[in-house]
Parts: sequence; C-alpha cells; structure tokens
Amino acid sequence: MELLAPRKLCDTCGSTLEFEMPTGFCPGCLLDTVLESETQGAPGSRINDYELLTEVARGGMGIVYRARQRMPSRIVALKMILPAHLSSLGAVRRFRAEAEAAASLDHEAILPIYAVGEHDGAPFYSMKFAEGDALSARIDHYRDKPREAAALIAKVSRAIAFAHEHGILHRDLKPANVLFDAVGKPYVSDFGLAKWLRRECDLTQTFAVLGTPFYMAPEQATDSRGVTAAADVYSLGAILYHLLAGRPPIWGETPMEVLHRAATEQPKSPRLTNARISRDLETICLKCLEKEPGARYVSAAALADDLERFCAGHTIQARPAGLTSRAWRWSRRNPVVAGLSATTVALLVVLAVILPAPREAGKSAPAIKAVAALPFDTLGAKENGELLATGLHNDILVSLSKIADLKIIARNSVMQYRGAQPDLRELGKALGVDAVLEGSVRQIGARARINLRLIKVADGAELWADNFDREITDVFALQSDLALQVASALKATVLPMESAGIRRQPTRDAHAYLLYVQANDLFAGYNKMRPDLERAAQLFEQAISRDPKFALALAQLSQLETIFADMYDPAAALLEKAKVHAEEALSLQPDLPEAHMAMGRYLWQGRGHIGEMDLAGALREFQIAERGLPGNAEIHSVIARVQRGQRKWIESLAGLEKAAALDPNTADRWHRVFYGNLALRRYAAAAQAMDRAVALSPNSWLFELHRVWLPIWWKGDISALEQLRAPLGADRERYTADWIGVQMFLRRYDEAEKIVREDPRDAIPGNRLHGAPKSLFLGDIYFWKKDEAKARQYYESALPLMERVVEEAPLEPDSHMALAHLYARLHRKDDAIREGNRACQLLPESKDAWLGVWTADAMTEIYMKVGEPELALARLEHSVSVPAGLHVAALRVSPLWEPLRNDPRFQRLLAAYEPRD
Amino acid sequence: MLDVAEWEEADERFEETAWSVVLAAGAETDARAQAALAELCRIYWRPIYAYLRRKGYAVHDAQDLTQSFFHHLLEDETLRRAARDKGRFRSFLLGSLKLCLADEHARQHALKRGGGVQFILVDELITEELHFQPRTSELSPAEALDARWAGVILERALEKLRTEFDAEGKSETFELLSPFLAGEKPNTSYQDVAQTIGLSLGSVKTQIHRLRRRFATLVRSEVMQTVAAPHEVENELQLRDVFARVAQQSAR
Repeated sequence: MELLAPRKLCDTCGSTLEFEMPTGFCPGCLLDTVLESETQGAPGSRINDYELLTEVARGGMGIVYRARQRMPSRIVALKMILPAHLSSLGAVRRFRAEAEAAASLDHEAILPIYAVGEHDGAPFYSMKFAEGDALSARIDHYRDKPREAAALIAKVSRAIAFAHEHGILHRDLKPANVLFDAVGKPYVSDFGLAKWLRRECDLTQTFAVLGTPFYMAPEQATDSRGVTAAADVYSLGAILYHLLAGRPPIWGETPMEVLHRAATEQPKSPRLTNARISRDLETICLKCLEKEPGARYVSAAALADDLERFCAGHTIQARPAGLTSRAWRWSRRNPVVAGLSATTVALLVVLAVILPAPREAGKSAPAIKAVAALPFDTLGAKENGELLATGLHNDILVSLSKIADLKIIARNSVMQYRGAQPDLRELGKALGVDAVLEGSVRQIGARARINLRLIKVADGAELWADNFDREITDVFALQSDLALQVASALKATVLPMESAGIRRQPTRDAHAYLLYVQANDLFAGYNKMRPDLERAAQLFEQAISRDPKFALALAQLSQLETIFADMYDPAAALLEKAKVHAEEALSLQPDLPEAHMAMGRYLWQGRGHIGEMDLAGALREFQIAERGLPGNAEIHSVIARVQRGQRKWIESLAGLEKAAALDPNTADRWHRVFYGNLALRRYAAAAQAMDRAVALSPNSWLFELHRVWLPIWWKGDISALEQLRAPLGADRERYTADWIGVQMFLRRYDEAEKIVREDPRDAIPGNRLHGAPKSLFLGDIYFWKKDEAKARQYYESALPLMERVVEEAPLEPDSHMALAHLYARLHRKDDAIREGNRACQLLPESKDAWLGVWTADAMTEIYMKVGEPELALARLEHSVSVPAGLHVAALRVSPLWEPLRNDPRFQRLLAAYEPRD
Repeated sequence: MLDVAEWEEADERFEETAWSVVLAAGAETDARAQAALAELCRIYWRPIYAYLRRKGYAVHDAQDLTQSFFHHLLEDETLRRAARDKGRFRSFLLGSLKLCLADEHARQHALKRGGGVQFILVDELITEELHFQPRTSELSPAEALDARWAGVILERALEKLRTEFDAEGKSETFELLSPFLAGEKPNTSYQDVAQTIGLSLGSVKTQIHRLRRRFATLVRSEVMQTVAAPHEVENELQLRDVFARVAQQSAR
C-alpha cells in the first residue's frame, strides 16, 4: 500500500487508485485486511464450522439453512436471527443463554439443538435437520382423521410437559414449530426463543411482519410477564382446534384484531364445521382454550393424559362447559378486561406486546416511565427570562416525546400548572405519572442559570437535579443534553435513532429560534384564536426569513396554514402555501417528523377542506411522523381520525385513548374518545369519557349536549335531555341549530319557533351545514305540529334559497342532503331521491367511512320521509350494524320511524342489534 | 432493564438502517422500512453518481439525475417494487437506476424537475465531483459503481474506528497505528512506532493486530447493513475483485 502517488496503481497490491479515499488509503489493501481477518478464507457460504447448502426457509425474523457441519460431520439445520430483529446487544446475550438452556432438553419429541453461536453479530443455532415438512404444511391431512390429530397433539403435549418440568416455557407454539423427520416422527422446535425477538411492531401491520398470533393465549397478549405453562396449554389446544376445524380458533385481519378477539370472543364449536369430531375431543380442545388460565388443564401432562385416554377409547376427565357460562365466568373474574371496552383491551395488548421483551428480565422495582414536565418558573428580571423558560420547557417536552420508552404528558395538559404549587400526589394521579420535572430559569445579563429537578410523586423524593449556567444563545443547544439526562435519570431506553433526533439542532441562528419559540407558544394551545394564529404565522415567517433552511419552522408554519385555511378560509387560498412549506421542510430535512406531520395534515385536513381528502397519503405521512414523535398526543389523534375514515375502528379508538392518556387535561381528547366509543356503540365507555370531558370543560354546552344525548342513543332515555340548559353567549350563536333540534326532539315546538324567530341571522348554521334558511326550520316545526298548509308555505319559501346554496357549492354533500329533505317534505319524491343519492356519491362510505356513514344514514331517513318505508327498511340493517351508524334505542323513540314501529321486521331488526353493554 | 450505555454499545451493530428491515417489510410500505431505505440511500448515493458520470452524463445532468433518482425511488412504489428482489442493496440500487434510465420519459421528466429536488446537499455533490471522481477512467460504469461503493463502506468503517479511539482519548495512537490497517508499511517500521508511543515492539504488534481485527469487524457490520442475510456478507466482500480486475485491464 502506498499513500497516493500520481500513479494509478497501488504499489502494494496493484489495485487501481482511480477512486481516492480521503484518508489516502488504497481500498484494495483495506479490503485485503478485512478478507484476511477472522474468516479462514473460505469463500462465500461458510459460517464458522458450517457450510451452508441451501436456504430452507426465510421468515420475518431469520433464515433457516440446510448446512453441513465439519466436526462432527453431519447435516444440520442452521437458524440465523437477523440482527435487526433483536433489540440490543444485551438481547443477543440473553437470546444465546435461552437457546443454550433449550439445548439442554433431551426428549424424543423435542428437536435437538446442537450448538449456539454468533456470526458477525448475528446469533445462530444449529439443530437436527428434520427431513420432513412442518405441521403447517400438513394441516389438511388431519381434518378427516380426528383421532390421528389427537394422537399427534398428545405426543407434542408430552414434549411440552417435559420442557415444563425443566422450567422452560415454549411461548410460541404453532404448527410451523412442529416438524417431522423422514419417517414422520414429530419434533417441537424453537423453545423459549420467541420472547427475545423484537416486538416493537405496529400491531396493525400484516402477519408477514409480526408473525401469527392465532395460537397465542389471551393472557400472553395482555401480560407477557405473567405467562405460565397454561399459555402453552392454550396453544396446544389452538393447534388441535386448527387441525380439527380447518381454521384457527380465532381469526382476524390484523394481529391486533386477532389478539383483541382472543381476549373477548369465544371460539365456535369445532363440531359446527366438522361433524367427524366427537363430543369428547371437542371438550378436550375447548378446555385448553378457556380464557381463564386456571380453567384449562392444570398441565400439559394432564392434557396429554386426557388425549391418550381419548385415543384409547376410555372416558376422558374433562367436562364440557356451556359456551355462555364460560364467557360469563371469565368476564366475572376479569371484570377489568371484560368490562372496560375492547379498545382498552386492545391498548393493553399494544402495551404488553410492544414492550420489548428483554425488559422482562428486570426484576427491580417498577421503573418510572411516565413524567409530567411542569412549566418552568422564571426567576429575577423577566425580560427574555419568560421566553427562555417557555422555549426551554417546550423543547425538553418535545425531545422527551421522541423517546418511545417514556410517557410524557402533553404541553396542553401541564400549562395550567404554570406558577402553581400543585400537590404532587394528586397531580400524579390526575395525569397518570410517577414523576414530575420542575425547573426554573434565571436570567443574569447575557447568561442564564437553569435549575432542573426530577421528583418522584409518590414520596417527593428527588431522583435527579442539576444546575446549568450558559450564555443565553447557547440555552437551546443545551436542551438536547438536558432531555437525555432526564431520560437517563429515568433509566429510559433511548434508541440510537431517537437520540439522533433529539440531538439535531433545528437552526443555528439563535434569534430565529427565539422567534420560533414565540410563534410556537401562540400556536401550540388547543383552542387557537384567530389573532393568535395570525401573529404566530408572522413570527414563523420572520424566523424563516432569518434562516431560510429552518425546516422545523417551515413545517409548523405549514400546519398552521392548513388549520387556518380549514377554520377561516373557505376559499382555501392559504392551502397552496401550506403545501409548498411542507414540501420545503421535507426537502430540507426528509426525516423531520414535524415535516411529515405537516404534509399529512395538508393531505388530510387541507385537501379534505376542498373535498379531495387523501386519507391513504395522509396516513403514510403521519405514521412516519409517529416514528419520530412516539409520545406526541396530537399525532396519535390525527392517525386515529384518519383510521376511522378507513374503517379501522378499533385501532382508531386505541389511538384516541392513547392521545387522551398523553394529554389527560385536555377535554377535547376525551370528547374524541367518547366519539370513538360511540361509533362502536360502547355506551358505558363513551359515558365515562364524556364525563371526563365535561369535568374538564364544565362550561362547554356542546359537551353537555352530548352527555345528555348519550342516554337516548344508549337506552332511549330522554330524561337527561329534558334538563339541558340553554346555550349562552358565543355557544348560543354557534349551537342554535342544535338547540332548536333539542326542542323539536322534545316536541316543544313553540319553544323551537321562538328560538328561530329570535335569532337575528337570516340563515342558521347547523352541524354540517354552513347555513340553512330560517324558513327550513320553520317548515320542520309546522310539519311536526301537523299544520300542513303552514309547513308547505315555509318549505316553499326555503326552496329557492336552498337550491341556490347547492348551486353555489355543488360539491358539498350536506347541502344536497338538506335539499333532498326539503324535496321530500314537498312530496317531490324523485327529486329528493336524486339529491340524496348525489350526496351519497359525493361522500360514499368507501371514501370516508366516518363521514360517509352519516350521509348513508341520512339517505335511509330520506326514504322514510318520501314514504318508502320498505326501501328504508332494506337499508336499515346496514345503518344499525355499521360502526358510527344509527342507534337502535334512538330509533325506538324517534318520531321519524313511527310508521314502522309495529312492523315485525323492524322490531326483529332492533332486537337483533340491541346494545349489550 | 438495559442501561443507556448498553444501548450505545449496541448501536453500531444494530443500526436501524438495515436493508433487511426494508426487505422484511415485504410488499407493504412500512414507515420504518421506508425510513431505513431513505437512510441507506443517503449513505450510498455516491456510487450511483459515479456510475452516471462514467455513463457519460455531464456534471449537471448527473447531479440532477442523482437527486431525482433517489427522490423518485423513495416516492414511487412501483419502481421500488419492480427492482426489489430479495437480494443485495447494491443490486437493488443499480437495478432501479437502470429501470429509471431505460424509461426515456421518466428520465426526461427527472431531468426537468431535478433542479427542484434536493435529496443530497448540493455542496456534497460538488465535493464528490471535485475530489472523488477520477478525471479519466478505465472503469466501466458498473465497475465505477462497485469501486466507489467499496470506498464508501471502507470510509464509514474507518470513521467509526477513529471515533472509537477518539472517545477513549487515543486519537494520537490511531494516527500512528492506522497506516498499518492496509498492511505493513515499508517506510515506517513497527520499531519506529514502538519508540514514538513508548511501548514494547510486542505490544505494538498486538495493538496493530487488534486494530485490524476491529476494522474488519466494523467493515463487515457495515456490509451487513446492505445485504439480506448474514451469509451474503462474504459474497459482498468480493467487491475486492473489481480493483484487481481493473488493475489487470489497465496493465494491459
């Protein structure tokens, strides 16, 4: 090798030196060093002592090879785990330890592990090569041979019982882990290895990524720590079920759905699909699948015993339990899981499964993982001190929210404690945190002194504290260090990607940054006022003009512009700017989560504003943003709101609940949880969420309205609605249409008319209409007062006005629907149906399940109004069964459905969809 | 519970930006995989630029094409899927690039809008052109890609090695020992180094041996990030051949 000479070839190795290395090395020589080192020069496919022959299988987590071992000479199966699937070096070590323990199991039906090793950081183990295929490839073979299936599972159960006696759980039993040798002898493989594999996946992903949870016990999903031998018994039962019934006991589209169903639903009797199964075998199978671990066989050995008894034609010991009694028993003993809501279960599932398994190993006191950073105090002269404190607080909060291992309460939920001295215990309870971060900033000339303290709420103990003394211009560069120190004091796991995101400085221009801090402070609150937004936009622009490469400021400005356009700008002129700013931010910093959030918001809320919502595009952007900001409440909320448009109701509700947990003092988060539960007709959970929203915002009339309307949807109970107070002040103006609606529902028509007549406006904005003419309301009032002549008069004067509204905004589905209603009342049946259908075409459920269902329901009602109860009835089943559709109890009391009330088909339908909670 | 230090230790080997993550995501576009792909592209754009320059594109065109190719690649699901088999990242990039170049319309379109896209910092592109591209070359475009590819991998491993020494306060030791990474130096003997550092000849040799082993490990880890399976690392190291092959050609 030689430092670069003007010649083109290396003196040492003769390589071409056309492509210089900045260090002056010859790449050929360096590669020689690499090739000489460690591996003994064997080309290509050799790993340590093994020559790789063929690739047998490749899965999400690793690769299995058929390989030839040199000493002793034999054919083996070599399984390599791709490093990307192990969460840390520590995990590799523990994985090896676990594999070595499993290697000690010597049983005729356990696939022997020969050796455990590591190659270039990737762990592998070699094992007996099973010449036959896996049970997953033979499932159909057993369908007609229940006795053979029972004998096979008996053998497998014996092997599992043997492992249990040696203190090893399998944890991931499934057909793919039961292998056959050349003569058809079964072997169980992969003992205890599953738990070391990274589970930090998104449960909404496909099975290809996450693997199949069809055979996983429900308690394994919600509490992977407390798993016992009973979980393996469940899996054995699930495999047996699959062999007998031809499908797994619990089925679903995504891992999330499967786990959720496993926790809440009973498997169907396998005899329903396969008549060859005897009652005894079904009893054995279902006993394994009991939700409550204690109700299953006490051990794998007991299961093996009963299966062997069955095969020998003896009486089995298990007794059948009725399906309903089982479910009842389980829910009685697990009131928390069964009673709450399926989403809460889903959330628990997410928490339990997502937590990287290695954390199980920690046996010390539970780590503190939920923190609230209270607003920092400003000491001494205010000047910039206030701004410094606000900015630093916000930055540390944002940085900590990038760490997936921490739960950090959102800014909006802590701002109310500014300058207060809250009781820590109460605060901990209210926010669901176990520690708080307090701080103060004192400005002394050009320097700032910062004090930070981390305190445990349970006993007020100080976990960590430090002082910093910096030039003011350096303060914001300091925040990443502070955030990481806090994380380290909390013993939080900080992934390399996360710390890189935290360390990145958004701008080098301190002044631009101060402008950004001010802007963000105005923008960050939940209920943004127009002048605040306008001022914030100016400040963002000033910051950007100082530093045109300030991607974070561009991203925030873009979000602000989208929100502004949606709220105040029907012409949507700002949208183009929002798009350009999001694109600029992305091209400056393609992985900036806020930039993806801005683009997502533009595609969703911005494009939605002009009727071109791109849900899929928005979701993609939001999910990228979520990776970078896992602790940000808003990102979970927007993802959830996109998902419900895509019919992902369960995931959506889980996201809304997560947002509320991260931002528990913001009433609106709970209001959304209410909506999420209501859509799924989980009325009890909806009521709880609504109570929280009302407690946080007792003066909101809208919240009060929803709280009292809920009993009608739930039970047809109108007593709470009767007590509703009138909206006052700004609420009066905003919710006039709703207030009129309440009076109409309570049949207080004179009161309704009074409200309409007293309103100074010509048109009254409604829930989804920008403005409906007063005469339309009056027409409805007289229609229900059964004064047909007067009603007709009002409707006719409303007609030209409504037609003009539709003409002016032909893409607005709600206007078409309002016109359809008017036509229906004027007995113009064909026109009504045409307009209604037009609304449905503009906003079909396929485009947006959330809003589309409302339109579809309104169409169902149009059929009632035009005197086509048959057609309405035909659509009604869809409306009462689809999430976010109509509520059965409300149909019973609504005057609209009077004509069908005694129709037995109507009654049957309502009975079939009676709410259960 | 893992402590932070353990994670940092783990960092180098378990980087999130791994080709296998991209492949593991299958046909589904998974955000983590997409981020991983973007990260890989950000590391490995230089070989693509070298390829384009050897292919005869002028500086500006090659710059624009590089920018827009990566932009396009990260945006366009069909292009990405078309070229993605379960192979190496290097083949994937070259395959996608060829697809892109073969599509005349896409190329024109890319050139036209290339100016607006900034995937790679313009400064970096200029530096690449000025300092890393040969004025004249005997390499074919594909060989240029491989040679530059090897360079990027080696540079990254060297940089990590240097950082490790810096972190231990041994920057000087690294300066003294690193020349031996490429084999024995004719004009600086082990003895000279031993004297400068003030260690015995034996321990200097041991240190150099360790340094070389550590370097080899870092290079392998680096390569591991660009292949689909661990055993493919050794295959990929046969990149070595390109230098020898080219040398033979130029000797002729």
